[in-house]
Amino acid sequence: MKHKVLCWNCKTETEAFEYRCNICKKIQNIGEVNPYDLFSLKKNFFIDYDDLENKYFQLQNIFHPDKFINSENREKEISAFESSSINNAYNMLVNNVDRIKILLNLNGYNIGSNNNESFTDHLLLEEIMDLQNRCMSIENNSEKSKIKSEIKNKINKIESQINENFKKKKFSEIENLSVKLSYLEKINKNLN
Amino acid sequence: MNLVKIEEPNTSAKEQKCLGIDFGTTNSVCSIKIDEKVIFIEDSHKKTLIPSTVCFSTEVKVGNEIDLSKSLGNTIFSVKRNFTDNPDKQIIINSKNEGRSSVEIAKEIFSYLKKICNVFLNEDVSDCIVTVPAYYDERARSGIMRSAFMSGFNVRRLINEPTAAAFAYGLENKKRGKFLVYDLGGGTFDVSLLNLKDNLFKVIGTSGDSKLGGDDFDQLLLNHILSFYPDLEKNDLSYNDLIHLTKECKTIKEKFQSIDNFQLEFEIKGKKKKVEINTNIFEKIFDKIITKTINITDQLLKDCEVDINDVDGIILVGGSTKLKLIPKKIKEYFKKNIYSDLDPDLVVSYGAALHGYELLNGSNNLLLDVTPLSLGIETMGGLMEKIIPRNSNIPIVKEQTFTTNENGQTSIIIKIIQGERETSDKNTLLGEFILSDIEPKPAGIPRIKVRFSLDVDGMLFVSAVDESSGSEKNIVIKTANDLNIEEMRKIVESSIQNAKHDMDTRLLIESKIKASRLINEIENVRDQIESLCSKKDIESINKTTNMLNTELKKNNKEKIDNLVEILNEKTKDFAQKLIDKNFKNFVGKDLDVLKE
Repeated sequence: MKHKVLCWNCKTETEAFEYRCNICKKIQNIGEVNPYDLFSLKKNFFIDYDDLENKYFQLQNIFHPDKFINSENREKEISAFESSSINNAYNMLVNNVDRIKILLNLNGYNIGSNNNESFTDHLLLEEIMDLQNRCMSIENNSEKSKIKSEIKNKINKIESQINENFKKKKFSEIENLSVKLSYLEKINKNLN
Repeated sequence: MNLVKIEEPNTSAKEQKCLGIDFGTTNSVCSIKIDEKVIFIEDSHKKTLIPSTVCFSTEVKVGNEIDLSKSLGNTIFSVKRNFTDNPDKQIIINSKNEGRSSVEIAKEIFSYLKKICNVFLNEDVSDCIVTVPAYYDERARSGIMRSAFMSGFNVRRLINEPTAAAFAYGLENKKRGKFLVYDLGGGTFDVSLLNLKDNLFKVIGTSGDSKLGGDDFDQLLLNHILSFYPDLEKNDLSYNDLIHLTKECKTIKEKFQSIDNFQLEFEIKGKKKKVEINTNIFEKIFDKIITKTINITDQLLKDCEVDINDVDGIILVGGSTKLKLIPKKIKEYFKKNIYSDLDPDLVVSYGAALHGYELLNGSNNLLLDVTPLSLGIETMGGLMEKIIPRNSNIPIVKEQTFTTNENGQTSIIIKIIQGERETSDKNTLLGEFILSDIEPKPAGIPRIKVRFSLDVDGMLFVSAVDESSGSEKNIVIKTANDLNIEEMRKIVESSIQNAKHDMDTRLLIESKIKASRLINEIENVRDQIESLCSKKDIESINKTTNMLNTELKKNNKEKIDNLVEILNEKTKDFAQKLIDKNFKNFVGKDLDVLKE
């Protein structure tokens, strides 16, 4: 997406500079961009974490406030703002549930538009309650690791289901699955 | 005629100097990178370890200038320990009962450090990086920063002590991989997990204990010695005796590095006793503290979801890790390579000097750090709404929208809290402010946007805006009074122990809030209910509402939830009718609540 941009400092309008003005070299605001595009990732549910991390480091290397300690205030402000936007975008992408939300939005799906959920909800609630009860009554480490691997399997299964459903564009299905996923991840985290 | 040498106007060729200052509980160290080398600043006694002590007598003396044999009673030790309680609280500094705040006392130390740096370097260097314990909260950080600024230093950055040490290992020692930095100083314990890559040093997570360090070892040793005097209480000893004995214990502890067995003769209040100290006794005395640090380290690994098998080594930092016992126990427990090649007393300042040089002169290296404790605000019912979770990368800006809970409410108190517990009264209140001039609207309609920005020094800025009226309040957590920031680690610890109880409390409070809101919404649209519903429906809604009101005064979550469900069911029809009547715009998002 190349378009003309105006530099806040030298006021020159040039063809698409990336982060720094071509003329005066001052740092520029990134502007509205979704997390996938920010890190130039393909818009799939499964992402390459190493790739994401490398791009994250590259961007922080450009925008991190440590790089602007002797710069003028406006550059410092841009750096602080964009460095934290990059952190936020990165955190959202590494979080499964947040990533699903981003992808659903990018697909034009309105989260919360799904109404026929009471039945699945009921079953889901029972399953989660059951798991939670079992987690509460864990007595030894072998029991714990057994439940952990069971939860891990469930999470893996849902992840691939979500991935499939994105291919088939079954978005309301994905929304239901993501509720379940968030519960399972919470239980998994509490087990630590 | 003299020839005037004209320098090229190339400012980047001239290197900017920046001191790395490790202001420690026991000792402070300053260093600086000049001509590709880091040099340590020495005082007039040729010492690099400057005791962090201040003596207020006829004149103010600091560090090795103090003759402890003469002025023990007027000397302030370990002032850094007070920063986590209240850096602005007055402390008695001498026998004349004069008071100074910890910030002012630390300022004397910084002033002295500045003086010896200028003498040693033969020039005035003001730019510096100051290191702080990683677990330090907002107030402690700002307190240290104020002390340094007041003494004339230009603090370019605060960095975390274990991060600085890891930076030195990554840069000078070319360490690569995942490393734990175990930093046990005189008064503080920090542990950080880092990923060291080429040109990239990233903190994955950090934890610690604000009140755990070498000083505690001395106290335990003192208790052991006093146990040989069964009819003597600690309180029976005079302040001078106590300081004197503590000093002696410190010496024994330090000597223990080279000698394994001690036969000591103590004389307390005229009574002589023989005290034997050997490795076994030593281990027994210190076991509790070391176990505590190991537990904190274990919990950090769990929080970061990193397996100890994926850790490449443990870096030891801080004077207390020079005790042979520490590397031994750590190695026994974690079964990892232990590194202490860079002097644990000097490595923090060393790393700060390296980082300071790079900050001011540019570099390809990047250092990414995190915030140690969660930050949030208190919401209705005393719950803590976490806005920035701990171990988030900094800098970070987060916004969250809140609403009113009473009809026509025009102001809102925003309490900023830090800690790990679910209910806010168990966490630390950092400050509060009032947002007024909210446009009067039904409960739940106003949108108050609260923005937390945590900068790269770990300093917090909070602002709140009422999006409809544009009313805005800003605060900076800097000098707020009576903050009770005690023992961060205790917060985290009790947070783990009480997780279950907290969760139940939280769920109950949440149910209650949901119920009160539903009642509120119904009151709000009572006119419509009366015009749209049958008499029977109105009666049944009223009856359930009354029952719910009674139940709200008790603590039965199930009953409350049940009644809310019933009430929701009963008002469903009404909500539908309301939509039909095109009232949607009038009640806005209240409808969603009714439908829930």
